[in-house]
Amino acid sequence: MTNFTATGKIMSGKTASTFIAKSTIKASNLDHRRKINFNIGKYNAVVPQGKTQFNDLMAVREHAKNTKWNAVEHLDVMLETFEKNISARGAKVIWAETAEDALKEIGKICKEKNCKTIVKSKSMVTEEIHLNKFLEKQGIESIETDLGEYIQQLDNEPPYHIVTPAMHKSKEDIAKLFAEKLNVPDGLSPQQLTLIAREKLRKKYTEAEIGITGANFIIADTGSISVTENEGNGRLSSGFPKTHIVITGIEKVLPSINDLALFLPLLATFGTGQKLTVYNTIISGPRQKNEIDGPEEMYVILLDNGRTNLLANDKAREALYCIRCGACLNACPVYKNIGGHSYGTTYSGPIGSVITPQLRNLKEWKHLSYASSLCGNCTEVCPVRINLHELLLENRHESVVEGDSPVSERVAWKMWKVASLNRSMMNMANGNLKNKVVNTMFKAWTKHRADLDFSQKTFNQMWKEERGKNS
Amino acid sequence: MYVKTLSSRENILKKIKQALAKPVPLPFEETSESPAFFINEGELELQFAENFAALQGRFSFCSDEAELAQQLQTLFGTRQWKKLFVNEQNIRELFARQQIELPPGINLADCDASITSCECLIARTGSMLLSSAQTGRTSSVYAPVHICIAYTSQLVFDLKDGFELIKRKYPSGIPSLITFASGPSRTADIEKTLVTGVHGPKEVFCFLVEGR
Repeated sequence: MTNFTATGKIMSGKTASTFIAKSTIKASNLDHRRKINFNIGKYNAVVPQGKTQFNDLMAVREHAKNTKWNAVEHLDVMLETFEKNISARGAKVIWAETAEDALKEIGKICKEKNCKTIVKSKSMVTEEIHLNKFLEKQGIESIETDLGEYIQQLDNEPPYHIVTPAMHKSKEDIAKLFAEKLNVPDGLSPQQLTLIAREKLRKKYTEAEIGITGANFIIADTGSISVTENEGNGRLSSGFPKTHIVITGIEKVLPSINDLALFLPLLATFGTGQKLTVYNTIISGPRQKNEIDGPEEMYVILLDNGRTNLLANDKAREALYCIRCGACLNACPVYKNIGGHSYGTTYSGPIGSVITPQLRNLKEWKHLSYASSLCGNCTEVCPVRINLHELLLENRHESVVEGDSPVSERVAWKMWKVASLNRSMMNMANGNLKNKVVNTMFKAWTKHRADLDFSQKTFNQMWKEERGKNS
Repeated sequence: MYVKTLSSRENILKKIKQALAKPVPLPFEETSESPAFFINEGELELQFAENFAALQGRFSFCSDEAELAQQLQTLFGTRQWKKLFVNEQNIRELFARQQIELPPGINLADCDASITSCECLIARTGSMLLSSAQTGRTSSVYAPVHICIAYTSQLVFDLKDGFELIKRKYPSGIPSLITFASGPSRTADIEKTLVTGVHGPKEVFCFLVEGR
């Protein structure tokens, strides 16, 4: 019954209609589906290998959820401990309530350092606050150094996937893009394309005044941030420039550096099927005395931007345990059909559909919670066992309670309830009448599906006939 | 200048405290404090060699420093590597002891290979634990080739042991950067096709010397 509303009746407003339009187009694009299935197929092939490293995977996932629970239930203490410890090492911690606050602070640092060029490593939080657009307006060149993000920046597109930003592009697409934008021959191989990116970016690391990274984890007990990557661009971005800025959401906390012994392999396996990604870097402040290189200054920006709304919602709070591995995107039948860009959000897929309405605005984004078949595969694959599909239902429930469902739907459901609770009313109508009522009342259902076809006899009639036969 | 920041801090902490006034229960009460996540099977040398090689790392075992010197000379000779970058005193001393010539004035930016030590080796994952206190932040990542010299006494089983070792070695504060480096730099951002040598080194060597 839940799905009666699944395709649009409840979706109102411009954001929702854009979402439906984009989804409709993408879902029938076979070329898109072929590329996504190819990429996700490769992901699915390696993840089981990564999982073999764990002795008891279910126990590990439960322990991981308990650990994040502990961190989030004591978030204030964790953040204060982190701040105290990393400040003692000479880093400056800045708290930002909104994206605008964070941008203003970054702008201030850039101005102070007379910054012309920034090298930045992959970070979804910087996408969330639209950092590159802001820096561009200030006349600062901000270069994405992760290969996938570099490709997306060349194409002037946001990342398609939180772990694999250019997942929707074939190697031919990328070769063509490089030929157009970088004046190189068309038809180069992935190896050749990678080499070009390496050559283009190598000098930038040593020239840039500022390096910006995100953080996969914030560590309270040592006052550190942890960055997970494969390419080395994160290490270079935090190694050469004189100023290192870290931007991270407040929920990324882990209580202890020892927790990384589990969370680093967990993130690697569920993100890319690896045992451990090539580089896992733990940074606790700027260059210390007796060290030969590294930035003179380090800033850590702790961003709220709606996360405290999620925290205040005791049902949805566990969405803050997310480690952004992307497993739920890869597992989601809706994501695979409509693609990452149709969502129109920074965080796409099931986790995006859960948190975006809470981070931003339930009324405007509630439609995402309906873009789900509730198959539960997201919950099944989540390394920290977030009950994603239940949280989608919870969002739907909240939006109905808050009166966000359209009047026509509320009336329809009310009539449905009255009729189905009343045996004589059900018996009164034959199949033809039911067909007519339901198929016109729940238009949204029939938009993407065949009409419902009710039996000519009522259940009550059939029951009586069957019973009569047997006795 | 920091007035706004100060109030942001207070606002966020206030919101957090208000939200947490309504606690949620521990998700899995039955799960033990710390289950055995990983099982240690077999000799550490062997585990490291297998795991490192599986990541396309080039592994070599040397029974002593003299054999190390020999192997290094052969490698430098066959690859015609002359511009070797070394910024650690103990490696310089090792090379001097074994009479391996180190040309002066080599830049990291245009060297053939960079040679470093490491804090320890992680057998389970085939990783080198490198630190800013020992090798700096850039020498092991900017060069096209990274050569790491380690001793069998530096082998530990898991990341957890690596953290303990670091905390023990630097009781007044861990290095500003530590990194677990596991094989050559790689990407699979183009059609999930594995390509090595993106921004970090394309080749990583580990010479494991018996002893110390």
